[in-house]
Amino acid sequence: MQPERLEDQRDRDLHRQLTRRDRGAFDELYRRYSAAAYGLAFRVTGRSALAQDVVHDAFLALWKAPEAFDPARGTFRGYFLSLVHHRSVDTVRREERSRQRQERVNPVSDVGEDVAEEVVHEAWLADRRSKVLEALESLSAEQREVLELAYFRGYTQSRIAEETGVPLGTVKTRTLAAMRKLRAALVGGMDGD
Amino acid sequence: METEHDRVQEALAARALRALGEDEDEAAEALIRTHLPSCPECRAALEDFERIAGELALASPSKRPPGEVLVRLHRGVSPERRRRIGAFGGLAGALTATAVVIALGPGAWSIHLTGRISKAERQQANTAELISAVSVPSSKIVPLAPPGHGSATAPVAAVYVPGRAHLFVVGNLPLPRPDRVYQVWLGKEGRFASGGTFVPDHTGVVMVRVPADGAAYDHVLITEEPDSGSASPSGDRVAESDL
Repeated sequence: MQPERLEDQRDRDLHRQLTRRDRGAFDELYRRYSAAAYGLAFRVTGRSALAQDVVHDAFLALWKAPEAFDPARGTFRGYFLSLVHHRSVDTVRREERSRQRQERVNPVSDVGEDVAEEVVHEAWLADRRSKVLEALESLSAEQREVLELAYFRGYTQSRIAEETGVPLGTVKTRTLAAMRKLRAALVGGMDGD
Repeated sequence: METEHDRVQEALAARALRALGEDEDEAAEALIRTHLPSCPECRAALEDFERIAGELALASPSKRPPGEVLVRLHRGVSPERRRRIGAFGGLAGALTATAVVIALGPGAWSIHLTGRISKAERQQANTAELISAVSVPSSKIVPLAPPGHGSATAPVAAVYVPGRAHLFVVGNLPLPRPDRVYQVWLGKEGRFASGGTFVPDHTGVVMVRVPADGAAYDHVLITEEPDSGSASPSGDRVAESDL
């Protein structure tokens, strides 16, 4: 079995143990995915405190409802990191709404968070990571731009259109074209069977 | 020329990336609801786009979270508190024939709508919306069992699609006692919010739409309460489950 698929199988085994409330399996899944989850959450939210909350909430949701992951529908990695992404975007949008309300009352200058974070090299994810990066490189610059603004900045398509000056319809078609290219490049190698 | 598949898949792609605002999301949902149940091509696209959304996370460098995240988590995953178990009230086994046929497989639920759904008396769900929810590959069907009973005896189920604005409670229940109603509760970390009250129709069918995203909660509970409902779960627990 290819190394990637061995890792996917390991995840499925751990998940199965998790459904039986195995704390050891939970800790192992945390060890395996907390860095990828935190890296994503930090990139989307831009703040360590928010990223920590996202990671905490995602793992807690996993503990409380492990059956929400259906192995027949894809890898545990895909499911869990998608969950982290969703929560990260929701957090960004909530914070943005809150910030806008507060600024109307008490305008302050934006102070960015500057936290030195340790980048972790995870050998077992390296192959998959390089495939994803390669697939992203295969997109046109315009396709990559809309994808990155949506996925890593949490922008809605309407906001992307506003910020880039590109018509909303064009943003939508570029997004679909990007996702179809990624689908062709990545989905065939995702199944863990 | 853009086809309907293209329009639907544009919506699916945007959804997978969480790139839709609220209004856009509702419009996309309406488009998806009418198209997906009969289109395996677009259902496959939905599943693949959702997978890609998970994989894109790997484009970010991994970073070790501070140690206090795990400390907080370990506090959160401590053994669950014993729940107060109220009297079941004689509902076990008291199921009537129904237009909503619930087939229970080993460890799984299926919901088949026979088309003979009659209207419940309060807070009724739109049948088409329920069919749409069940048709989505990412939909969740969670049996709600009486306290102390397994899912095989569950009289009702919670149906929801993570990220969507509604959760359905469907199944069969006998009529509550006189001057009483059933009340749906959505729980998160031990705190409950009311999802509304309802009474089954005269055939016992329950089909209730609760305006909440099931993914935002960790528990669903149905209790029997006074006719005007309650501020918090106080009556007998009828059925429940973790989400």
